[in-house]
Amino acid sequence: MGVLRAGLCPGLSQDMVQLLRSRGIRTVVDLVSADLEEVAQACGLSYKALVALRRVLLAQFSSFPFNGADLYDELKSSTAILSTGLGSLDKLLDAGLYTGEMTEFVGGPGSGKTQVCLCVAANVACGLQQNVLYVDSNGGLTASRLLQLLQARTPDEETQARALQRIQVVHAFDIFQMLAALQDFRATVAQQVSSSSGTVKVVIVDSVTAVVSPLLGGQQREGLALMMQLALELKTLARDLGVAVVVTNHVTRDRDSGKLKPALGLSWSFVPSTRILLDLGEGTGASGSWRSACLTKSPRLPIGSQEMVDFESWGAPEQSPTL
Amino acid sequence: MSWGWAVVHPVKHTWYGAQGPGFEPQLQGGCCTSGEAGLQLLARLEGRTSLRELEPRLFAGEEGPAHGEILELHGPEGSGKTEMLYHLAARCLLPRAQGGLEAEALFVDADGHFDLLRLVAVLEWRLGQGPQLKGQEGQGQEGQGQEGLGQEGQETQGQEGPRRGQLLEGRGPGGSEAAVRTCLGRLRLLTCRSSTQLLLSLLALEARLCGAAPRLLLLDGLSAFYWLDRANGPGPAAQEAPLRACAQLLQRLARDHGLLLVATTQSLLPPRGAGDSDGAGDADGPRGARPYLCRAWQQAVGRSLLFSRPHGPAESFSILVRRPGGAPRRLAFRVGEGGLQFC
Repeated sequence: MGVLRAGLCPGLSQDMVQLLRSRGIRTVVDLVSADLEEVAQACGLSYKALVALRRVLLAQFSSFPFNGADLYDELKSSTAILSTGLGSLDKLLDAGLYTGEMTEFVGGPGSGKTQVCLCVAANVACGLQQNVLYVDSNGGLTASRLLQLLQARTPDEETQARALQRIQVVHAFDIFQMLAALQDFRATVAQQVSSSSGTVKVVIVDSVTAVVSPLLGGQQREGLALMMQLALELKTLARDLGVAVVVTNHVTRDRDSGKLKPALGLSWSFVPSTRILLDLGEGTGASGSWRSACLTKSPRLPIGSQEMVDFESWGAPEQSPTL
Repeated sequence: MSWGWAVVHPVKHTWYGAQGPGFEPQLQGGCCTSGEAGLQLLARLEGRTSLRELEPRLFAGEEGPAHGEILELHGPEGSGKTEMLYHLAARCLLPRAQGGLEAEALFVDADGHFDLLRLVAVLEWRLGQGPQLKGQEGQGQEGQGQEGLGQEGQETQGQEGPRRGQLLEGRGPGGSEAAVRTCLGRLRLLTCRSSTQLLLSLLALEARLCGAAPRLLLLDGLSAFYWLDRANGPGPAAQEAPLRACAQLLQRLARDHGLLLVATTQSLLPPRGAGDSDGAGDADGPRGARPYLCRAWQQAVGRSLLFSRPHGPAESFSILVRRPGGAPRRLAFRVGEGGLQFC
């Protein structure tokens, strides 16, 4: 964003850029925070022109303060709650996934994170008839499982085919591919290349750990910066496009207390708004379809509540979609 | 208060004179100056509040923060820092009949966690509680409207189903919709996606502050760009430059323009003490948590509150308030439907 160059804004010519650079002013921030009288005298530029330039740059690059009442009206009409299709999980999430926020499912291997993602994708595509972007980074997505879920909901083959068409799958096995995929998605939406079957309402990233954990631990600085870049990208996507972002993450054990905690460290733990810990239920064994889900972070409900989730119960007719 | 009517306002280059509202503002250096008539100055200084008035329970038993001090809320994730900001925002935005200050507030959201619908839920709940202020009559329609709200507010809370679902369908307590909109009209929200954008937005804000200034500036997630800045270049100078400039600017805003400034920062580094996450034991640095933000910010902060998570589902959140030359004090609070409540 920062460097001054000709044509960056109206009124900034190449000569001005050269003169400013000769005085050590290279970036937008340098110009805006400099003492314009001194700069005008030193560079031989008109003071008025510099002041106007400063005003234009500030208007262009700074963020605009929105009025709370206007934003409230906009949010009331555009925020949606998307049901996951699993009643007990919806109860933990306060009716479902909220658009504009990031929800994280963490758990050990075999705890059902990918199953939750598939259930969400199938429910949004079939029940709510909206598009889904599924970014797969560890090969857990199988179309046959998606078809199985859809067959449990409706026997009509044409409906199933249409629902499958609404789920767009992107494979991204390292962080640069994932960032590129998200930026391509954003560009597609910006150009309003609309398909006939609606807009994307959910972006599922399964899993984030697969692309980020190879970066951590070595050159500490860059890895963490890339992780935070991905976090920023996902949160901006959620906010600007009004989609619900779902990510999955692994768990590690805390060194001191021995409890399970989400992987990727302290910095990532601030990023999601809601976090649910999935675990194999005690006494049911790994062969059942039951898992326990515990709410460990939420902006609107008290944490610590626990529910048992049965993946076989997805598709039961009493699930009423909320949009 | 150290300033009064007789003291020259600390904003530099402010002139007093007989000029009326038609006087042109002049831009000089990096600061916007304006000629104000004496009456306008008095109107601006009148009813200045301090952080102490905003939430007296935070500073009970102490001298209170000095004018121009920045309050820092620091803590791990899920410890209630953003909830505290909603609580302070609600106290600022609510009408005087409800115990608020009826003043403008600016919320700068740097980590993308701001949830306007949650703030609306808090405002609605508090408006539904009825008139709060002792001995002060309700302001015309609002006062009469509140009594009817008392019952409707109760009704909605008792209902089943998600609170948020009702809010989205527009079935909130009747009559308070207008009151909530009035409160929200006093709030401005600024979203920032990088430290440079944060700095430029604050500079643009400073240039606009000559007119009606917000009383309260809430900054959520000042440390959100820490790792991104550290990848900026070799050496601490390049890495800390944006945050240093922000810290100096915030200090200027708090001191010269009299903004009440509250900022939250995250504990990004694990605590050094063995298993003592709130650092109340052997403290590192003045705040008990490992300081990692640049020195300019640490000097700009006047007072720091350390938040910690509850240890169990029935426990309350706690804040550690360190006092110079005294034992640290603990405050406890719970978070409910109507926001934060001290216990």
